[in-house]
Amino acid sequence: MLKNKKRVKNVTMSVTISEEDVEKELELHDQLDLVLVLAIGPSPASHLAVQKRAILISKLLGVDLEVEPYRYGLYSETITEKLQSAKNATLFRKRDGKYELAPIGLRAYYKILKRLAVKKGEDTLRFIEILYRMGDDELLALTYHLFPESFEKSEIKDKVRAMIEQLRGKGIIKARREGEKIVLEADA
Amino acid sequence: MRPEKSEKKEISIGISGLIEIHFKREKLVKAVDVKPGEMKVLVLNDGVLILHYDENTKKLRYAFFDNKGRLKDVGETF
Repeated sequence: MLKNKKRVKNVTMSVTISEEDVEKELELHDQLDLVLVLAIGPSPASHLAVQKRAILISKLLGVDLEVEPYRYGLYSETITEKLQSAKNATLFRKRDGKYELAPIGLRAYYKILKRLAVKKGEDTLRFIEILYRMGDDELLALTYHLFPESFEKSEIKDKVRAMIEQLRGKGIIKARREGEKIVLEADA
Repeated sequence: MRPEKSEKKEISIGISGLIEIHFKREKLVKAVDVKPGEMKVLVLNDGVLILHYDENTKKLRYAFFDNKGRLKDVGETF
């Protein structure tokens, strides 16, 4: 037994991230990096979820992204490369098989949301929030339906097609043509 | 100003790609533009409507999600 028993204190290192730090960090990244911050969001997300959310968000925001049909629908090699890039380790990282935002990435996330609210409006933010509540099946059904080229090389196309067919024509939205005009009637 | 819950809304899309949302009770019209290849989202009372003008097939595809993120309805124009 030691005479002078040392008491070891757990010291929590708290790193203060200033607004300036976040601004400087954002300047180091391109638009697609910032789309990935939004796609990952405040909670850890699977690779499939990040891929599908990023495809939807980039389309909505008009950010160029190369995609191609692959085993689970549209896939972007660029997204995979960016998720693995050391340059982006300040924003996000992979842990236990999922992607999560690093502390400065989380601060950047809230800053990007504020900017989006001003530039694109609250509807865009609401959609992004709802994306986080969607399960993998919902994300697959949505992306396959909106971008039917997803079916081309898909190994799960029968499953996804069945999910989509179950939802088709539920009557919440009704579409009809009136001459040159398309009318959507929404009962929601 | 948003309409009351369960109110029926009508959304019309002209040939120019202009979307008009007709809020029947308030006679309010909201207009957005959807160009080929573009995606737009519209918040309704019970969820979110997503529109995508598919430039390959020239179809407007839509999907409606409730506020819990559950996909409730999908379709496209002919």
